[in-house]
Amino acid sequence: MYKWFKVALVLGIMVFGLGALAQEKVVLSFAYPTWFTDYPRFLNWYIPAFERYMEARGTPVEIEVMELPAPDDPYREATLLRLAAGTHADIFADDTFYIPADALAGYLLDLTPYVEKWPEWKFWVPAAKDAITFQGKVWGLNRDTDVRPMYYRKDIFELAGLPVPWQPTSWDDILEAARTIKAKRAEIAKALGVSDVIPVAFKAGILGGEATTMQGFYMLLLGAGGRLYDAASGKWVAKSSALLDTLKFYHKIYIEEKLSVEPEFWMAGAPVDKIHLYLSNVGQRPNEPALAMLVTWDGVWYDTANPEHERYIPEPPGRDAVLAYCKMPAKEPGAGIRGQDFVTISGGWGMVINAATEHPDIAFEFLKFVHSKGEMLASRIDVPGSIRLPARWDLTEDPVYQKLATPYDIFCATELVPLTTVRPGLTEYPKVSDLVQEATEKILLGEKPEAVLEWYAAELEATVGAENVIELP
Amino acid sequence: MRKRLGSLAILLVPAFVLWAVFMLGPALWGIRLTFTNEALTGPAAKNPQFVGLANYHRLMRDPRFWGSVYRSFIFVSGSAIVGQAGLGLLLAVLTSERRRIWPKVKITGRLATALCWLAWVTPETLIGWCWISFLDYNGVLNQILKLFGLGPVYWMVRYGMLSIILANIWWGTGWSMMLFKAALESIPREVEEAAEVDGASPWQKFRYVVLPLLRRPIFVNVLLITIWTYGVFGLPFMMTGGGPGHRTELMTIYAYKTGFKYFEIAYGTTVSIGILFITLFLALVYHRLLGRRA
Amino acid sequence: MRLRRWLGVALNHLVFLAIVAYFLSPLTWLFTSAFRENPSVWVEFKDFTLGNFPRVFTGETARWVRNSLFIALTTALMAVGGSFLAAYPFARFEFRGKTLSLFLLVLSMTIPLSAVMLPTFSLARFLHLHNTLIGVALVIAARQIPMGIWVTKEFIASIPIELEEAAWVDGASRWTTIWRVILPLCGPGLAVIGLMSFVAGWGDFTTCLIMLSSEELYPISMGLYKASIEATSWGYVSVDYGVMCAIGLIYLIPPMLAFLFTHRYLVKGMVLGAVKQ
Repeated sequence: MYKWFKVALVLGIMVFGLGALAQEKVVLSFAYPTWFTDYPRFLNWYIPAFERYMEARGTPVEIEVMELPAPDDPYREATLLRLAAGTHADIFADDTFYIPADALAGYLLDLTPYVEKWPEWKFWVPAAKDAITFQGKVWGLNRDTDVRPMYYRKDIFELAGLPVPWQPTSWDDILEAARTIKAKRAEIAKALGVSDVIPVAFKAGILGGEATTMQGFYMLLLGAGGRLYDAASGKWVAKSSALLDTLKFYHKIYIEEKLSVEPEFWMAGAPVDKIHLYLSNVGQRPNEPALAMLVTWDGVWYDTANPEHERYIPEPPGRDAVLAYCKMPAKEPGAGIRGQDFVTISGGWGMVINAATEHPDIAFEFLKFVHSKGEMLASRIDVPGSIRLPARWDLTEDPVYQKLATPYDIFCATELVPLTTVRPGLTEYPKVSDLVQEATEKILLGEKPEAVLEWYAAELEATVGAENVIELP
Repeated sequence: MRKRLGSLAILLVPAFVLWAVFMLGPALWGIRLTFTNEALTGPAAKNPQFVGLANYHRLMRDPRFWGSVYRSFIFVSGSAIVGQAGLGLLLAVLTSERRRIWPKVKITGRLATALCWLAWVTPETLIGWCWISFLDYNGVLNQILKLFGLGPVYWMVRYGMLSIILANIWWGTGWSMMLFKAALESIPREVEEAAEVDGASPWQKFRYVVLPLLRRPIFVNVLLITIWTYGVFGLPFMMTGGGPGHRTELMTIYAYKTGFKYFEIAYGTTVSIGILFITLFLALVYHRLLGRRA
Repeated sequence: MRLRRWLGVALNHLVFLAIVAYFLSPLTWLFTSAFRENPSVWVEFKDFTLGNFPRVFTGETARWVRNSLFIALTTALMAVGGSFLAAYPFARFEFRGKTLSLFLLVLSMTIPLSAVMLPTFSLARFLHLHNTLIGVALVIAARQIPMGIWVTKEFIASIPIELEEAAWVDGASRWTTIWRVILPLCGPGLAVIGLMSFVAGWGDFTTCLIMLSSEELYPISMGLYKASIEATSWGYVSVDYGVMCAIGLIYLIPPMLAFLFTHRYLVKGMVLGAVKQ
């Protein structure tokens, strides 16, 4: 029926020649986040190399790059609109926490039969497999995972008279350091040649998107010994002392003691980008402040040493002189999840195949190509900081790969990975994550933690259903 | 002349199809959508189900929806009724060629009307761009304040509703001004002269002679801009995106977010049905008013 | 008395200056930055250049201009064509459903696009017109049809039927008179419809926002929107404010010209009843 409408409209109003070009080659389209460190590598190496590889195998293939808007939220919106309209790329990258919902929507190709026939699949570490598995089926392949350290500025710490190197062991240590810096912020700012010094920041607010949830809220919640989803009962946690402690900590740094940016900072523009610029400001942006402590993802370490990147810390002094990393402490020693003293969380993206693709086999060939040990190793050499926590254990054990490891990589792999945890791989998670972001924004707007928790419990119940929530002590 | 239409009926076809499919179509299609659970992801994306009145049920108990209804009302009252109509009337009266209520000042008056008109013809996104450049944390307003040693303020966060109201007044006043001017010009000169002969002061002349004659244009225009302003989306969306929290989340923005941030197309459509009802109701009133003339 | 008058003038100027300041202030940065070399977010009066304008017509901004032009022209063409053809029967015939359809046309004019944006998207998806420029133009053109028919109908009705009758006597068909007599005389009316539809397509944001997801299809409105998001975000993206402001000024010109010609007509046409009692 719609075809008839279309024909009538187009004929009645304007005739458009549809140039159906005859294609000899198989054309596959490909979408990847443009802001990723290894995006240029896809353009300059993987795609041409794969085309040559397929040409040699007698199946000429052309990979077309589809550029989607950046960053996460616009990328997600464009992805879904194209998927829903049936116009999305054959191969695309999806943040792993969207895989359950997208798989249920029928957008993703079930890769289980493909990986079962692929001998290299056995090299995937269990945690990496989990991230791309839903309801017992495999929906994508991932190259690596990530972790979240806490960064601090050595120069600011020294000017404030704080010890360097520094490893806080409780939230109070963080607050204490922040108070010390705050007391001297004017003189430190003057010494650095920046407009102000911000002691500490935890990502917050709706505009922060998933960064608020993963690099702010979750890092605190885990340290208070809490989770969003209680695996034991199979229910979402509506209330717990850990949730309340987390909200109270936000309240403390943003409202009570004002140890951070103004709360409004998180509600305008692109705050997540901005906060990183504050972290890397050593005076090259005199009109902007510098930030002393921030929990964020592990790749920032490499951005700050990459002259191409806006987060680059120019020399002198250079990254190594001013920036340092440590583990995020639990509320008190042993108070973290599983009784840990320190906590972190992992996420990552998966490369998936559009269920509507006409060439699933060739698309999977591309996935295999990009996820092969050799290509991942080459990428590790070519792009500093890429694939540091590989999804494949045979890569981790490779001597060449091991030689590339910097102290930072070793810190992430040996100190943080054993502590890590993942987001619940459930369809409802993205919606719960939205609620978490909104809860932090309510704190920023001055609401009391107890009231925000009540609100969260009610909204959670409305979102996932009363039978799927639980209240923990 | 009153012949049968015959084969000429075909002339109606292109316009009618276009209108029926793309204007009436979405409205009817939208009503159909509200009885389903169509979504862009999750199981409902694969197999949308008929869910009866579930969306309306949810709407009635959705505090965020009622909040948006209230905020839309504030936005319309502030920007359309008080702002555009008020400022438009003021400008029209002060610069009208024929009504000497105030002493004439040519240059500033002309400049004010020209700018007001220019603002009205500016495309929506450009207005957003301009207002963001003005109210942003690094924007022009904070730059001016800095000259006086005053600290920067997150205007669009702290005074979100006021910001979008001011921007919308800025955008829409030109229309009301032109309309009121046309209405003023159409008042017969003699009426006014009679008042002058009676020794009325300019203010009295305006209050007791001009204003009563303008009552109907004012009313019709307020109705019209109310309808339009309920539908305003792009400008506030660009400026505040509904934030902080939900403090500037108008009905249109809530509908958009439900659809394209939470990807629940069906429920988002149910939200916008509210706007549809309000505007259709106002439109019917408008139609009745204009109809009475004929 | 003279003092009072002087005070009145001063007060009057003051009121106008306040209004002028209000209308001018959001434009200052746009106007200064468009003519500056590498402007920042700060208003500064130095480094003036005209170099930003030629650069608008290169790279992605050139594509925005092209897409905007395509949407606007297609919209205008479809709206003018559709309205003109349909207006003739409405002006010259009585037929069943005429009053009802006119009523529905006017009523539909008041449906804001934002109230039907989700169903519009869903419908366009169903028709496979989503993420196409022609789909955007169809949606916008449809929204111009009611006003178009209404205005053109009035125009045709004002053309004396005798002109047509004379031609019919000479053996011309109705089709010929529509083409040869009515169309030329409708010129000004159609020009108004065309200009207004052009402006509607040129300035549209909401339709493009919901319908277009490919950056290669972005018109100026979407480009500016994207830039306004990126303007406050750094990372790898940096916005060329000079070119953005230059394209903003260029963006402003067509609606200015169009409304210069049509605004009086528009105001009177829309609220004829209200004004004339």
